[in-house]
Amino acid sequence: MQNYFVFDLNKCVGCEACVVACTLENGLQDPTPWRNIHTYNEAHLPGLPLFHFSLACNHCEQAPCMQNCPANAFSRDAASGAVIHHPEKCIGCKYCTWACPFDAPKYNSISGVVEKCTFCTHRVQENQKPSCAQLCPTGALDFSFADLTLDESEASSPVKVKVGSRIHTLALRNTKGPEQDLDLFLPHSLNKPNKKHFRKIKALHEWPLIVFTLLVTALVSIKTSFIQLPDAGNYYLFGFLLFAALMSTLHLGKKQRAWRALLNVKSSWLSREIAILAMFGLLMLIQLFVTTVPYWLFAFVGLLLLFSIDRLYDLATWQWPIKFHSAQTLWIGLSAIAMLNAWIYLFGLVALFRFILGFWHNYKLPENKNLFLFIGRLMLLTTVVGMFLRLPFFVLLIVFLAGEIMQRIGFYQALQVASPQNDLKIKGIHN
Amino acid sequence: MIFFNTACPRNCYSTCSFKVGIEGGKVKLVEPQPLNRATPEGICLKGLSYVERANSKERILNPLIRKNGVFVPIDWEAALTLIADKLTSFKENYGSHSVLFYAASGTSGLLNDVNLNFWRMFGGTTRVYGNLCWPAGLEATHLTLGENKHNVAWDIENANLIVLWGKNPAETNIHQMIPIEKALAKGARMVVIDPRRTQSAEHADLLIQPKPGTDALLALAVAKLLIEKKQTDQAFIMNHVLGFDAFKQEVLQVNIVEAARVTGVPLNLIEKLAHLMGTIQPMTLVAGYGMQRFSNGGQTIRCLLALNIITGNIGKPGACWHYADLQGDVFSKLKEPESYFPDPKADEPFRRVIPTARLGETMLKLSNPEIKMAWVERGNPLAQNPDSLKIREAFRQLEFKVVVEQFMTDTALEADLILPAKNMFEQSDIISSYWNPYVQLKQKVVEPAGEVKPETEIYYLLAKKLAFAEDLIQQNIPEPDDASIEAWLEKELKPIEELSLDKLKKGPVLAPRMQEIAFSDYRFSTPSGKIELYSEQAKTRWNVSELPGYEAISENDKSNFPYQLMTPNTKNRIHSQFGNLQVIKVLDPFPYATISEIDARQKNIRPGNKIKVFNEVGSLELKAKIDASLRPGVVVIYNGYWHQEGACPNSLTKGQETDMGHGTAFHDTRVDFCLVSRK
Repeated sequence: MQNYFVFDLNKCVGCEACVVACTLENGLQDPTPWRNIHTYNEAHLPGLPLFHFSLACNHCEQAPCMQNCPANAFSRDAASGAVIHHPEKCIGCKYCTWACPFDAPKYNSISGVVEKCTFCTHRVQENQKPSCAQLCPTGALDFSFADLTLDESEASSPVKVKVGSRIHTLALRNTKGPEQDLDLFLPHSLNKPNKKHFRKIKALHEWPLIVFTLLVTALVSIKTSFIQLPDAGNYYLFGFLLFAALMSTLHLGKKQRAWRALLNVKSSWLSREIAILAMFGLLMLIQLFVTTVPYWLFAFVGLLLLFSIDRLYDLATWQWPIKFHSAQTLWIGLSAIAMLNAWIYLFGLVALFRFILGFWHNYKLPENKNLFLFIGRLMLLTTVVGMFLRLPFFVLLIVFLAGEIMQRIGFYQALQVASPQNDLKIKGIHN
Repeated sequence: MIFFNTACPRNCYSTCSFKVGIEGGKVKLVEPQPLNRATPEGICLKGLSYVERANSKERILNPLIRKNGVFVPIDWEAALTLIADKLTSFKENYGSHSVLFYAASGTSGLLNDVNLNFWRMFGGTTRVYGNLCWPAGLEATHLTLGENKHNVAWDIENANLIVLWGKNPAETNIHQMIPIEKALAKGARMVVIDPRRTQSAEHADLLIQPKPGTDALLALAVAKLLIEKKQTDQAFIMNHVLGFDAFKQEVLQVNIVEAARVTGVPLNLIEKLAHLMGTIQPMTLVAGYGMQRFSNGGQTIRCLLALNIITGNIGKPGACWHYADLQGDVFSKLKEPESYFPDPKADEPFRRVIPTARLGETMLKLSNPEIKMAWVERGNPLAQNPDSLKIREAFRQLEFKVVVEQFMTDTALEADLILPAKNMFEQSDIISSYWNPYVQLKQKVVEPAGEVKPETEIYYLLAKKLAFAEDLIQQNIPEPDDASIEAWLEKELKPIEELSLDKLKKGPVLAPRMQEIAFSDYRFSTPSGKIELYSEQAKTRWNVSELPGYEAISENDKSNFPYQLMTPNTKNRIHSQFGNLQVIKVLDPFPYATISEIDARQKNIRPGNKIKVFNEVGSLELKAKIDASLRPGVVVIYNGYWHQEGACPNSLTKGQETDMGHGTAFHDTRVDFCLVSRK
């Protein structure tokens, strides 16, 4: 890959001239600088180094933002290698801000779309370094017009994700911080690094997504189970679908461009999800107005839909050991189908599988333990027990639904995607 | 876009060369100027922000007069007439010393001298002596080495041991980090001595955190260990040093265990520091300005400098006492610190001087004549001088205050008449640095914005208005047009044949006859011609011991106010400049005080809580930042916050001079603090 940033951790003093250089060069308005300084050990814990990472977009060869954008709002500038974001194509879904391990795309709540570093393509074209690299007063951030191999890129990547980032990092020499008189400070046992993770995704902000995914799961479960619905029921269910679709657009910065979400079926699970949802809706319409649709077709498309929803959150697997989570919509859907069909043993089996997943996550990633997930699982257990005790269906259904809502909220609360704010800290401690 | 060479005239070590891009008569772009070997990679974030500063909507662009408490525009003719009338009337009724002329370090340049020419023609004014920043250390160095100079900025690369004692270049002299990093990459060791764990300390092997104000004793303890272990440079001492034996006698009296207790530095770290200094050559000791802003500041610097002297670390590559390099100033007849001293031989116009360290209290006390009017330029004394609220009180009692300013600072807010000040791009001038050895031209690259007039033009018009004799005006003040300004600067350059405006326009020029390695000729312009560890002048001029020594700073109010207040500089401002710009505010949105984690726990204060910092002088409310590596017992508030932000630390500082050099002992201030609210 031609053109890349060179960053020397030993030379950076965190002065933020690069941030100012970028802001002025690109005429940015408050509040979203495209470049940030990420500081490890800002609290100054003795015995740990404090260092800074200056990061904007690293114009990755396998750019996660571009791959995941449902609206094809990113393109690659062939001459410079830059990943360019086109605001006029952006729907403001923020999915790229989840996907990027460097936090390069910045959502601007005023414009309703994402914006990001352009590699100063206008300068690079004229053989000038990007403004940030040109103006770094200590020479810590530099730019090379040469070639960087994927191996070199991965060997020095500032984050764990391997995406072919155009940055070559020179490692820190002093990895312990200066020797100090430790008697002056709190004993080390009282003074542990704050392991509280920064969360890019906040469940409270993503409530439209929680509602959307639960509604769709419910819809698929009903259509995929053998319960008999009155004729009018299918009309209501279609209304249900429309409502869910409307919910999903609520979190978009540019709602009128929602249709663009279909444009990247080739590589974005978000586009695929929307496409399969549309297919499912089409089947419902055919059933309502044209002809009977076979049950297996609903089941197939429905489960595919749930599967596609879950794949959206594969981004999070950078933090999770496996791509399975107990509160994924597919498992919620299977539980619901088993319940609606009163298949007690299948229900118990699926629940058991989900409990195992839950335990495993708590064991592997204790920092992702979550109260909502815990309560939700407890309610699922109650439902299983209740089923075997033959408690009234209606009561069980209520407990089950409440439990699944809890689990889904917990799922978003525990959702962790790559961010330099977490990854740099981890790197700092282990190296 | 057209690019011009220029240089930054702020009161900052780096004094960067840079190129400025002009388009459509506006400052558009700032680019590095690699010709300056000290600042080759480019200017800092403040320098970059000139693009905003020069074009800021908040800039004052025309004269403003206070009417019923609000500022309204007034045209130049009326403003000048008003000033001329006031000056005439005060002079007639009370004498010219009823006018206070106050100028500080906001913009450097040779043309600044024109102001004194004007005021002399007027008949003189009351002026201030002393300085807020660095004179104690300058005088200490001057007494010891004869002059203030050091190896070229990039020579630190050659050091095998670097000691940053009270200096944090990563924030205040960012370009010094370039040669430091080169030395470290080659395997040099670095020690930082500072009560704070500064950004610079992150690059060091060892951080020693003494109690503020005890640095002299730490240095003496190290000196004793070096002498006892015979790790001194005997040949160097024999040939170049006066008073070593007396110093040795004194130093051997130091009780190391007691020194460890008083400085708060454990014995093993004192020994470690001595071991490094005794075994690694060459050493560059970089002394900052903060720790000489104590009432024992001058003596402290003499003690530190003694470590260079006894280990022979002077006059060789990589071996350097690095405090201030005034070799670039090839123009001044009287250099700092002596230019700060009240001149006993001053003639009538300028015989009356008052100390800048005690500005407010002295203004209030002055009589015969009382101060009636003040003229302030290039300074913001209502924020930057100690006990600034008392200065405000004194200002409010004046009948007429003129402030020449670019922005609505705390001082401008108190003015009766504000005159819009030029910025660095609107008039050519010549500057030098106290860190890098270049003479530089900052060129005029745009016409003054709005109705802005450079100070020289204001004085020119005012001189006409006051009907000074034409030939006197011609001699003393340049005419306003560009050609006359350039001719004036050429005249200043004339005595130095190596320099010319044409040459300076092409980029920075190394000061003629400067030494790359300071004192490499081992000639010292002290009375004895040697390095004076023992200095008669120290006694006669300042009434301190002839030998470097440690005196505890005043501790009598320790019981009421147990915490030491430090007011260092931040990377985000030069004193009170730049903090008002948007690009800076985004990075540094609110004022805060930094306290240690242990102190915070004791007072149940959590990060981001609002706290009150107070003492007998005043109080401040601001957010708390908690630092796990700050020495307990210390409160840090960056200097340069404005009263308008509610956070000017000089609400707390006392007006007090340093032991020598007429500096300002800001850091003697003790405070207490408490929780105000959680948010």
